[in-house]
Amino acid sequence: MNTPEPITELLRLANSGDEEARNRLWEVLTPLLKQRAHMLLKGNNVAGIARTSDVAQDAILQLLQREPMSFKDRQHLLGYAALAMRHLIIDLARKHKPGERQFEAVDEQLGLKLDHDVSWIEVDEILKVLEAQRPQMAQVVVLRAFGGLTNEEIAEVLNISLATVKRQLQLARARIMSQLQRT
Amino acid sequence: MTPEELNQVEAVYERGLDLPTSQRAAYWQSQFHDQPSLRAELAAWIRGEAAAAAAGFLDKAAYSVLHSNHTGKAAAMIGTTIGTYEIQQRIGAGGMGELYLAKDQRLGREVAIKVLKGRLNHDLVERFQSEMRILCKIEHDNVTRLYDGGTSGDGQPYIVMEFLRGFSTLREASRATNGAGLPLPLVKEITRQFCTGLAQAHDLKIVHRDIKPENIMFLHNQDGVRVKVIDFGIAIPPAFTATEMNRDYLTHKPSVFSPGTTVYKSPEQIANAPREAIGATSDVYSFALVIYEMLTGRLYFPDDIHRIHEKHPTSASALRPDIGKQIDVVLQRALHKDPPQRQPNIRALMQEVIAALPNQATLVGSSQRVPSNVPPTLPPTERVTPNTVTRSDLHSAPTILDKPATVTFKQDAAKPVTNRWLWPSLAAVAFLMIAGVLWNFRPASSGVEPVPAANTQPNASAKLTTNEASNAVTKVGPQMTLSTFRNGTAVTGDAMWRNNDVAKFKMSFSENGLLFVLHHGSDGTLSVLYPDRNVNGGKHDIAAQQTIELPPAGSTRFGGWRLDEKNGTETFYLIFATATAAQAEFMRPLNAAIKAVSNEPKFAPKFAKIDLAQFGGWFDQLRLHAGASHDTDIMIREIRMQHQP
Repeated sequence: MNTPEPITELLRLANSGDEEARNRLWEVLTPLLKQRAHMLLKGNNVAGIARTSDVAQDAILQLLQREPMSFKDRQHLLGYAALAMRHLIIDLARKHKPGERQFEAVDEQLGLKLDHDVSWIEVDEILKVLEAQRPQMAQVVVLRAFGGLTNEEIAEVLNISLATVKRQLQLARARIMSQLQRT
Repeated sequence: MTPEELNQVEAVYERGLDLPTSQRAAYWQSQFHDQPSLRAELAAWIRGEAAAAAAGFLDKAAYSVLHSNHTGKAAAMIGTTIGTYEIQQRIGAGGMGELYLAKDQRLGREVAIKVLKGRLNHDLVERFQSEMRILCKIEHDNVTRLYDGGTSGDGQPYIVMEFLRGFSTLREASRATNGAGLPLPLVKEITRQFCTGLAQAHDLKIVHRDIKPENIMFLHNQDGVRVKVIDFGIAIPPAFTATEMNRDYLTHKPSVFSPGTTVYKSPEQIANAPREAIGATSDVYSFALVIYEMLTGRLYFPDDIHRIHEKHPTSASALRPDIGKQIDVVLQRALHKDPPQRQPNIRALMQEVIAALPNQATLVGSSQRVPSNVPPTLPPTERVTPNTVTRSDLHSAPTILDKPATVTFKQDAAKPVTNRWLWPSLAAVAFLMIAGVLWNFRPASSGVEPVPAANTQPNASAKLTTNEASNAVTKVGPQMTLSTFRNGTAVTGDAMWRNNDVAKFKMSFSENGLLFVLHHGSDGTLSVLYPDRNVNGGKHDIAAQQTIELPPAGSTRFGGWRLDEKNGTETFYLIFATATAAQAEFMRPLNAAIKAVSNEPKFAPKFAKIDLAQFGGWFDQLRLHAGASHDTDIMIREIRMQHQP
């Protein structure tokens, strides 16, 4: 596919449930996320650890420069960026071989380091079940864990109240962690 | 658990969240009396939340963007050359630096090259290089060869070592036995190879200083077993303490997560004895701990608290009778607190260990216990040749050799404390404390079953029966009741902290004792908040049930400790010790710091700082204890406050 579809169009289709558009969106987003993360690292303006969502937001900004986008679309894009990050992170977690000496799950190109205290592959599995039972809770978790969004940003993206975000996170923490401890 | 049942649990859990924290516990405890499975599920949720709070689960993303100086640099290094070494692949990172696979273009061989991180001043570079020159002299099959080293173009010291293709660590091997211990021929062979390698280093007056299973590499193939000692601690300039490195490197993660950092250290190392005082006998001590672990599959000191109190753990032969009692005597000597009382050198330890362990052949046919994974047929005349062990000697350990241990979030419940689980268990306690809820573990006379909310055992399994819970009670030492106040209002564990908020604690203890409060700030400094010499004459005695307000009323301008105005995490350590325990060696840095303050002619407005460069190892240990201490008269609790605008 040579002609790049307008992002806004892809978003519209993806939001209306078009699976293919969703996949295409990830294809567009993933390299962008990688590239942006890499540029963040190369640049001298990063002091210490960048905020995680900067990676996703930076990518969004780049998209916004490419074409005008409505505020709503921007919010959706943040959501999709989180999903794309989920794919990247779970891939990274799978590649990580625990037996290897001193190996840390670090993606060199992405410049990302996985949090080792949680088995994210298991979280991913639990999320798949949660998506069926508690779709909103699952979305909140994805936006936080993989999108790195703040509570306020999550509220904006999902168009729910801040209190709901906090409560969903509280419930999800107990629910998911109790399962992780048992598996 | 059906989705409907889960919904029921969720509803009850959520109703609890809506209640004032003081009523939560009672409410949850009153639920599902006649539905044990739902009750267990609810308990699992409460425990899950405690673990989640500790791990910061869902507080932040699953990943962090690395510092540009680290990975950006690491990625940029692939394909470049340092000296004649072409960097090919990053193979790992440790506290000290990045490890790469590189090709020596001159000799065409694979090497491992470690590029050290951190700022080094001129003196340290000199010292580092002179120590490297010594290390280069070790030429032994059982020691990783150091080929070369120097300083790269941009001033970072690097060392070039033998690349150990296919090796794994002894840690993985012993984990794979699932607590059964390694077969005796293998233990003897590893001991023999390790000790002869280390002995050569000792002959050159080089002390390893960091012997632990992670630093013993191990390869098994048809040619037999090969052991390599790696990571001579001496290569690290002494000023580069583990704490410094960890703080620099693991920016977002305290070093409590690096397993085994203090577990294998000798008492003199833990006491921060001068470098000269750390001799070959320190290595003897550390390796004895490794031998114990190889034999029993268990850590000698299940936690550092045992070590502080010098409690003598179970002898090796009690855990594995087939090894005989003689080995206990050998290990006891090697683990003597006083270095001159130990075996004078590593060769002596090796000889005693090999002599003490029975030949496996004598065990065949006997009814004594052999590790469960050992097939019944062992070669009738096992014989360890001087240089190799044949595969047939070792086939009794198939899991070690063929199956790498997997390390995931789960932990074998039967295993001793692992650091990964220390953290959740600590949090289990911290969460409840902050919430102002102290579960009463004692089975109530009314027959109300306690919900096992704060399982302090490093037990990933959700199963904890009432009996187990009440057993846990008898182990609990001093009890603390604590409330936390934010700007004068009592808050719960999940309260959001803002910059410039004022924090205050009220607490009481079940026993008489001494209280110390430390603050580990976002800036990395460690200060003593209490005792405060302006309060109570600088005394820190506390009577049982006395309510202590911290900071004491009138001692601060804001009526509490004001959090930084920049985002960060403030960590408070509340250390409560009985009068006897306060004299323990472990408390020495604390006592020294407090003494230094009280000796100052004029009390500085700033709090007394503890020099982490000097006492860093001690602080790591302290953090390891936080929340893990039970059955003890030192209680350490950690309270973290993450604050933002």
